[in-house]
Amino acid sequence: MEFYLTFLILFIGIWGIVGKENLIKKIIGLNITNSAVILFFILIGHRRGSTAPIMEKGVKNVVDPLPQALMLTTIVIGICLTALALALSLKMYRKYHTLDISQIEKLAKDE
Amino acid sequence: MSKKWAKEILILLIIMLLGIIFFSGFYPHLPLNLAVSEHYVARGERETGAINIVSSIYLGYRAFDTLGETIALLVTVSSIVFLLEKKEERNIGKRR
Amino acid sequence: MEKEDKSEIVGITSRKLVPYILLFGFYLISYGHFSPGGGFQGGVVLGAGIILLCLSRGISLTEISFSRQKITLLEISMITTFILLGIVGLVMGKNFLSNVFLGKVEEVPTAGFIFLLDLVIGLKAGAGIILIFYSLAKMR
Repeated sequence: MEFYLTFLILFIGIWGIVGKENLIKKIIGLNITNSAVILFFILIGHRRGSTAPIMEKGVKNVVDPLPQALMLTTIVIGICLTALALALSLKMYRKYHTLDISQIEKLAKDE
Repeated sequence: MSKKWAKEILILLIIMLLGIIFFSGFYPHLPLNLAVSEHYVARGERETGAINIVSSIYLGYRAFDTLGETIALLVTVSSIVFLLEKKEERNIGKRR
Repeated sequence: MEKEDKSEIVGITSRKLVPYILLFGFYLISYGHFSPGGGFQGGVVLGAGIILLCLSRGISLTEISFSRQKITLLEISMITTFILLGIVGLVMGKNFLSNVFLGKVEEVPTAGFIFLLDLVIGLKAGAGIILIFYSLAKMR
């Protein structure tokens, strides 16, 4: 049941990338898709009735620590992706003075 | 105005339909292979020295991936500083 | 008039909060192997504290104390330190980036090497976030 909510967030993100025409809204959709994938992987490693993987005295059942350690790298790569996309859209705004992707296509074809 | 809304809602319906078709065969009770995780949980504190097992994974057993990710962060910061320089804008102003 | 009133409140509140945010970031980095936290998490909190300082006082005032050359130097020296710490493991006869301080001091395993790696990664991530903010916010 919880996995279907993660897929819902994923498809909302994909709709944001495909269906919107502003560049900043597309970048927000990319970020939402990234978060959905990270949530899905962490949800796979969950065990019922267990605690966080910190081995203090008398801790027996822990959740799976391996997907959490892999998702740390994924979050950092998501930051790099969003930052580079914002920098590229800034350069496009400096050249074409608009953020609408259909008008940028028309202006780029005329060159 | 309403034409744009109709187009967006149509795209939303097509994507939701594709999603239902794509994930209709999802069966979340497959048996997972947990041998590596159990080894990390059972012997992580003794071999690495950290109580936090997530820290002992990404800084002890798999520290090489952390080095690669640090290099990726360095390349990203360098490319952003290179892309958004201001001398270029000054040169474009001078050429006109 | 109202715009100046708003920025006064934001400026005063942020200036009181920034030292505690930086302290919390260093706490997350130092206790990375005892409690939830770690290198990247503490580094990003440090970067966010400096960004809050920029938002409250203006970027030109903040660049006097946290100048761009100093933070670039910090970032480059941190990645060099990471690679040198890995080569220490090679020199002592074991694998690259292996734990050289492993031993037992009164039945408590020592975690000094993981703390050093945590510190290096935390400072590097914080410096990277600050540099990205400087480049993106000074455009026009």
